[in-house]
Amino acid sequence: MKRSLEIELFAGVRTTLGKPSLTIEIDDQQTCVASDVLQAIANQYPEIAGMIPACRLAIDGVYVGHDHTIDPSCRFDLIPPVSGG
Amino acid sequence: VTQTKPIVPRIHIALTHDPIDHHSFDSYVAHPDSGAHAWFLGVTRRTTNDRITDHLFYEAHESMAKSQMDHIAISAASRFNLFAVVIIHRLGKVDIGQSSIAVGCSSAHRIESFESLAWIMDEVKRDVPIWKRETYAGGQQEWVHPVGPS
Repeated sequence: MKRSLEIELFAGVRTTLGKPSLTIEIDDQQTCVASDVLQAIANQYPEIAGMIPACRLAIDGVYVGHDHTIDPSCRFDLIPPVSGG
Repeated sequence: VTQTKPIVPRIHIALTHDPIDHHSFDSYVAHPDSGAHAWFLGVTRRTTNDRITDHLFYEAHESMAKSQMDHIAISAASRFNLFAVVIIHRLGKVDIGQSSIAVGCSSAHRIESFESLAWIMDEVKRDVPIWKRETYAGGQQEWVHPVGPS
């Protein structure tokens, strides 16, 4: 069974895709971790696949590591390399 | 007994679409036991290599940026024994020569203030989800996503 995750986009990633968020499908039967989400984004949106290795995933406003277990009820943000300052 | 170490540092962080007036925070960072007040201003530069910038535009994941800035300010105050920390970041269009960020602090001696400003800026540039978009003199636009130290 598949489940959808909506992920907010920012800056260059948003501009490249031309929309403020994207949706991916994940397998609801297996444990999903953050690296699975990043890989799914790269697979399902090849236009931004080259940018994904430099991106971080934030869940409910906090950066998470690649092995962080996903709770689909949370808020997801794809954070490309930052350039403030 | 002279108080030389802050017990509860004053912390102010903000995101603003208006020009930054860091002087309005001079009294905020002041402390009777401080011997140093220091400010760093990051400003829009006209020339990068051989390209001419017309202006910058900043956007943020605002709630997360504020949370990260708060964490950085509190960590800096503890790490460098600061009396006060101010971090203000501009959003939206920032013209040449205008400040995109102001970081201020106070400490008993100058070395803590000098070192903390550099440390805070490194942390901001690594972790605060704010992005700048260059608009060059010819009208081309480009988001800046540095890979590695910037």
